[in-house]
Amino acid sequence: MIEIKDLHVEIEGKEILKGLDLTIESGKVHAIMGPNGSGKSTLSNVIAGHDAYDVTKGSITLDGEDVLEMEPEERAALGIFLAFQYPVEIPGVQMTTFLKTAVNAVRKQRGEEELDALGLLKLMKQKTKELSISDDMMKRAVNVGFSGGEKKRNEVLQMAMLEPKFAVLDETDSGLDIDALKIVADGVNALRSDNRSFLVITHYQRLLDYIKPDVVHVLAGGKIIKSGGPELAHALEEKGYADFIDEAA
Amino acid sequence: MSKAETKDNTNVMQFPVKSKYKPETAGRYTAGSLPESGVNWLDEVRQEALARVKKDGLPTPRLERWKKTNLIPAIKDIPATVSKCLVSFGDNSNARVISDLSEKLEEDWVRDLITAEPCDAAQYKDMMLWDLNTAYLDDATVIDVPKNTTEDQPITITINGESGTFTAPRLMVRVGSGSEVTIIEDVQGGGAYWRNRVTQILVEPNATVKHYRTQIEDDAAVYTQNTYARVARDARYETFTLGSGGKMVRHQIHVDLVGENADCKTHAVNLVDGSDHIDNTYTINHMVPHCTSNQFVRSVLKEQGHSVYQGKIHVFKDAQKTDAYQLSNALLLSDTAEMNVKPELEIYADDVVCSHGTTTGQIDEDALFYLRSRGVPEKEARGLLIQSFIGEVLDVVDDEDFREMCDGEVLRWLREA
Ligand SMILES: Nc1ncnc2c1ncn2[C@@H]1O[C@H](COP(=O)(O)OP(=O)(O)OP(=O)(O)O)[C@@H](O)[C@H]1O
Ligand SMILES: [Mg+2]
Repeated sequence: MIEIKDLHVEIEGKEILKGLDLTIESGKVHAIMGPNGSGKSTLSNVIAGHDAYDVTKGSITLDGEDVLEMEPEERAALGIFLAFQYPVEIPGVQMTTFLKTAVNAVRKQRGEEELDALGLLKLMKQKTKELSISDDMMKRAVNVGFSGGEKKRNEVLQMAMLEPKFAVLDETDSGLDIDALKIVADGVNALRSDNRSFLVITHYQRLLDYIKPDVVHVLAGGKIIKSGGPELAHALEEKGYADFIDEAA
Repeated sequence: MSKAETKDNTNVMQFPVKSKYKPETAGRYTAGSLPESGVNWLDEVRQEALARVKKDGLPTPRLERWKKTNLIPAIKDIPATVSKCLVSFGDNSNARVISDLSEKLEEDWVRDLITAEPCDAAQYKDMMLWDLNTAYLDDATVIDVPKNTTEDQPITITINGESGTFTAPRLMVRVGSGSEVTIIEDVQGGGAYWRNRVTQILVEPNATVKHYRTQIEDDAAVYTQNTYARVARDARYETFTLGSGGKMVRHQIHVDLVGENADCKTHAVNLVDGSDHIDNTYTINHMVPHCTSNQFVRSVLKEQGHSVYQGKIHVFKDAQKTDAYQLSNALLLSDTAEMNVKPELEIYADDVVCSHGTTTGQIDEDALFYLRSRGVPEKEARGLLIQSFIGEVLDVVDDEDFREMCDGEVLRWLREA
């Protein structure tokens, strides 16, 4: 279970999150929708441990463990995963090297045995097949020359390989064509389980047709201003944010 | 049509017009009399070289190509009497093509090569270290690969440095027409010594020479080398250096492309830490049409590490259809490290494509966070980014054992970070 309490976050002296509360039980999928610039990626980055953001107040715990005290790599080992809104290109580092390094780094920290080359290859083959990722992509440098959709699929691949307890998907649907959207959603759904929770950030209700959320939240003005069932996403899509923001004010 | 262009030209240093440095006499090195070799013409060549050193002194930052590299303080405490050096060859090296200079003195090409100079010598008038090597010419190795032979195994020459010595090793190589060879120069040693080397390589028509070097130096060591390659028609000269450590290291490469369709590639990776100084000064002379050259240097600097890269492309008037590139990228891991870059194009032909680019930057913080968010510990993530940065240059090496040795040194260097 991930618990975020009264979270205040500043960047360069500007307060972006102003007392955000969010609790996601294990096995549940929550969605966050909110206007551009409302702080969705800020929340994602703070959860993953980006040091450009100052947490001035509040707490984040995963299964009772204080996440804010940890380095990004420790959070990954604990089971936190962020699918980036803008995945980073790393020239010169091959996909296979990258995945091997990441998987074994996490396994090592979790006290599990590291996978040998063959074990990794098998795991990689299986996951890339499920996500329709070509072998050619695996031979390239991380995200270098990948299309927008390929980058997003690559994020889901990493998630599948690292088996997190809690995954944040920051606009993983943007830039995906209809077929890719289905592939990615299937990939996420395949990972849904009782001991894994998700936070899905999106602007479009469409994704939520594929990945059915348990709860939908509206983030505006640095806080969750409304929460509800999947129907909330439909209402937002129809009416836009203005009504909700007025209502909350 | 002239297409000389400049790309991404950051951090290019400007040399001061006036110098605060004084000329430095070579008195310590020229005071005594030279030991005689017993071969008259050779002794004459050496005496003449010594006379030039007496006249010109040692290189100081007064000289155009020495502005950022000050040799004098570094050699001050090292004895100036020349010592014999220990030269050895790898087990797989083909002994039949290797000789001592004394066995080869009758051969014309050897005589010619001893006095041969690159065509940039006259322009810069800074060949003192080369002359100093010639004056003490004694420990010289000759490698002569006959025509149309492919050496399957690299020829590895190892030169050891002993603390407190000044040595002047010389290597002279001829690779016959249509032949292929890989030559590996492995330099090792411990303590405070000065090795002042000259390596000369004749690449005859349609021959290919891969010249790989490690320059893994003691933090107290001074290392200077002039490498000269003369590349004939349809021939290829490819060199790669892994430079790591050294109080004062200067590797100067001179390439004369003297036959059409000649090609040269000069590559280096520099790992510079502590108060190391590594200088790569390359001059590629395009003397005839249709030649190609490529310089690619990547440096990683930390602590007070200092590195200099001066890359010059000189295109002669007749050298139409020249295709020449140079690129220097540096990664600074600390605020106190310093990288000086001086790219230079001197072009007299009008139908050429030449370009140079230089960048100096830090580790990409976004990439670092991305890796860490995937569970890779910070130190390992930094190491991976550094390895990938230099990997692009290292990939030119196509000798597995040598590559392994380089990878090992890179890992060692990273571990100490
Ligand atoms: N590095 C930064 N420096 C300064 N301001 C920043 C930085 N990162 C984010 N911000 C600001 O913080 C606010 C929230 O940005 P954030 O990226 O979290 O929004 P978002 O909800 O993810 O928007 P979008 O829907 O466009 O992805 C914005 O006003 C943004 O300009
Ligand atoms: Mg965002």
